[in-house]
Amino acid sequence: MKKGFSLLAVIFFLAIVLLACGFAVKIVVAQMSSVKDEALRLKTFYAAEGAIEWAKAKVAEEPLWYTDPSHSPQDDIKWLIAGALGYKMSVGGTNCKIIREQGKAIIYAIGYNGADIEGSSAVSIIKVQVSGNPPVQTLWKEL
Amino acid sequence: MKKGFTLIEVLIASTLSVLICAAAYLLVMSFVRAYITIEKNIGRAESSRISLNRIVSDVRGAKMIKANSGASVLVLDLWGKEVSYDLKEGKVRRSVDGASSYLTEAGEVSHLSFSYPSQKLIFIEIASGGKRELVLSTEAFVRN
Repeated sequence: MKKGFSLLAVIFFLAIVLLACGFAVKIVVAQMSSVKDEALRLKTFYAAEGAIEWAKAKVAEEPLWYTDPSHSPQDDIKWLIAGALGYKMSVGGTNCKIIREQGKAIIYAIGYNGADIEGSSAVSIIKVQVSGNPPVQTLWKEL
Repeated sequence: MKKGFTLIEVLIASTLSVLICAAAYLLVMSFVRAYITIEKNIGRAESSRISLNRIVSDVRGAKMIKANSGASVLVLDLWGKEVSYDLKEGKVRRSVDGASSYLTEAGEVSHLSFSYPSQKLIFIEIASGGKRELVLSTEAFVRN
């Protein structure tokens, strides 16, 4: 057996162990990141749900309340995020934007983290259709 | 040419192997601990989410919010039944006409509070327990 073989064997073993550890660390980091993203998504989702409830209370008081003139097409996410004026509020520190177009029975709520929607890492958009007073929800959809 | 390893080679190889195994063990254990923590956090967040959904569902169906509601307790008139929510020993307690049941296990929820922005609107905040608590906030409208 050549001299120095044990050193080569140790280096090889070390490389395998390091690779295995690197893989394990990568899994944990990916999972932690996934949990963090899910937590943010949950926060924005519940904030948007809260904003929808706030809007329903507002519509019960003022049935003709609106934030924007009528827009088409419907469910235009780009317009909802960037174009619509909306009503901005905070639900437990998470920012929300509520959009109700003039003369329409649909309410949108966008929950987002951070100062502006476009730079947000988590965005939840909920659409509901209401009718009557007190407003009864006839449609619920997450866009 | 000499056959086999010298004593020095064997000692160096053994020492290195022991060090590598110890480092690998420590890394794997930290991996397992992190995994367990993540799983616990997911479980707590799920419990908070389920409790919040239950509270919101009851609020939506309630006839009115009772006057004895406060920041730590919510009392609803659910069409003749008195339903209340509060946090008791780290567990979310739901009582119907005085009979209690718990929606979470001890320590899963660290905070539950209510505020009342208007007569029919309730702001609810719930936080899961543990080091990295997740705070979920929403509002619910009493539509009846």
